[in-house]
Amino acid sequence: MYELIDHTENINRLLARYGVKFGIYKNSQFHEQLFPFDPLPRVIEAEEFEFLNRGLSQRVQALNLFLADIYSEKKIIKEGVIPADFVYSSKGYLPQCQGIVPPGKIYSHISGIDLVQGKDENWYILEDNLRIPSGASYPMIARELTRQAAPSTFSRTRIIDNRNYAAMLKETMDYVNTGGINVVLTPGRYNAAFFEHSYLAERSGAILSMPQDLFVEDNKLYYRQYGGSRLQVGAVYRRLSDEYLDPLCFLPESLIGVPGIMDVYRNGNVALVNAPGNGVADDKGIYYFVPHMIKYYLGEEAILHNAPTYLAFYEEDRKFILEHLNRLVVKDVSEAGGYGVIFGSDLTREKLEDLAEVIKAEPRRSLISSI
Amino acid sequence: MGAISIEKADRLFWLGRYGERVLTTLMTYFDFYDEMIDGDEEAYRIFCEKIAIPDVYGSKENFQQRYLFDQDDPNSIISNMERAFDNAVVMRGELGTYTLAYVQLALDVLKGENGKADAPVYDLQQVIDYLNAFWGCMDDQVEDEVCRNIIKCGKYLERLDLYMRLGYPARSIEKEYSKFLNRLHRSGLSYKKDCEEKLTGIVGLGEDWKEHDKEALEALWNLFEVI
Repeated sequence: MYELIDHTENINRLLARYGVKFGIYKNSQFHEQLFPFDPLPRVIEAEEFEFLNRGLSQRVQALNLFLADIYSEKKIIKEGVIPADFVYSSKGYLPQCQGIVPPGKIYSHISGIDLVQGKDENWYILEDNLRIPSGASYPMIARELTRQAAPSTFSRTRIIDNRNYAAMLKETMDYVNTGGINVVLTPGRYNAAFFEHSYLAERSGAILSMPQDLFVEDNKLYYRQYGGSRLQVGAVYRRLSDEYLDPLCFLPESLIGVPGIMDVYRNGNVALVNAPGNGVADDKGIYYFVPHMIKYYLGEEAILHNAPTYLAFYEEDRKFILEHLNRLVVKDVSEAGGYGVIFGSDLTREKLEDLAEVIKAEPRRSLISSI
Repeated sequence: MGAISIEKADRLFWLGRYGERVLTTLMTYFDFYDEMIDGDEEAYRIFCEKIAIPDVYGSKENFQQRYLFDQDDPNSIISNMERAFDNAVVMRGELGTYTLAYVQLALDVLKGENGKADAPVYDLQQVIDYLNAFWGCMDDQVEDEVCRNIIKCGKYLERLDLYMRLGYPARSIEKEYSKFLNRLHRSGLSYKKDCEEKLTGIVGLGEDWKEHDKEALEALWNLFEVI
């Protein structure tokens, strides 16, 4: 494994050669940066990996069942497992998705579940990402290059190969495809994850599409070819957010959506990967209830636990939070991507008192974690 | 035939044009650079006139720096290379990561040498090498024939345009025109037959084509209806 450290510069040079970049906007200008390679891997032993595999599969299965329920009968609310308020006030809950059954009954085809290992060596779920989780391409290409740089690491040790991700993505798209080609829909060249969009399209054999390449006619989705002909699209791995996906259904000012695509989806004539409306299941407030979902839908105890979490909505939790606020991490449930996170230990006494008042006034808004 | 949208056909065509523009103008630049070492210091003015770019340089030194590396100069080599890259990067699926890498490498050389090249011909030979590697890799790796034909349509159209401006001999023009037509007819791109006929007539005149160079260039520019 130490060869990896010796070859860090070579690997970074190859990553530059292949344009492995991510974009950031700074002062309203788009800049692309190379993805830096860290030669030190986090080693997960086979037994532990298998445990994580079982735990993550269980969690994603329950989250899929939750989405199917929440956009149909809402039994989990009716039976009092999750308070209705947490579902309906979630920004990720989209009434436009009510009654839609996606092809293959799959909502979250690709799930990005964040894990953290505590000082006690136990693994905890930090958050769920079920909308358009990003990042699979970087470890794929990094693995390709690390195998070249340190072949003995891989011949001496049995390491699970992650390079079949694109084949699995293709298999997933083929499984839900309603008839037609597979496309990866990107907002465009200046999206932060454009490298990933183009790389996954290349590797999975899907067609990389810009929004203007797609159009709806007679309740079907088509890819417009330059000679005037068209190809029907059966599955769309879309890498743009729900709100921009269809200006006729969501934000009317969206210029990067495909008008009418939601109608085609609603009628079962195209698969959208992942399904619109998944945001309700990866909401920070809903996160608290995932272990309850697992019990409710699968009749099992959660294999992987949430990071110790308190919800100010419940009186008992609120009491604990207010007594230990200086040692806890407070997250605004309506924020995502690291925004709205406050570390109690960083606050002055005055600021802690102000925060306590906000929590008392808006208990639905705050999720508190001890990590 | 794979799925190629209007946007992608446009990108492929312009990738061909900008890639060729960098290659041919860089090689021509080398000739003029050599002339300016100990001959006509203002030879760059003839270069600008021939390839129809405004002479905004004012001196040999300024030209040698800005024409190669000034990203704010729309006619510079680096600006044209960036445009080639912008068109290539959205075509990763069609070109493949390994082919696309040569466009990235050519751009990186120009960016890396920016402002510090004291022997540019030696250093920039790498750009030519990478672009030639790109063309070779593209031929070998890109499976879709239509895709290859569209890129090469752009490439040979640009080469013809530059060769005509630079007054290349009839044999070279005939050779490039033949390669261009070969790709054009198999590209599926929509073009004007009358422009093709006019070009064929002028190119068929042998060395006398130069008497009709403006007409030839005009026919070339007006050949495509969409792109």
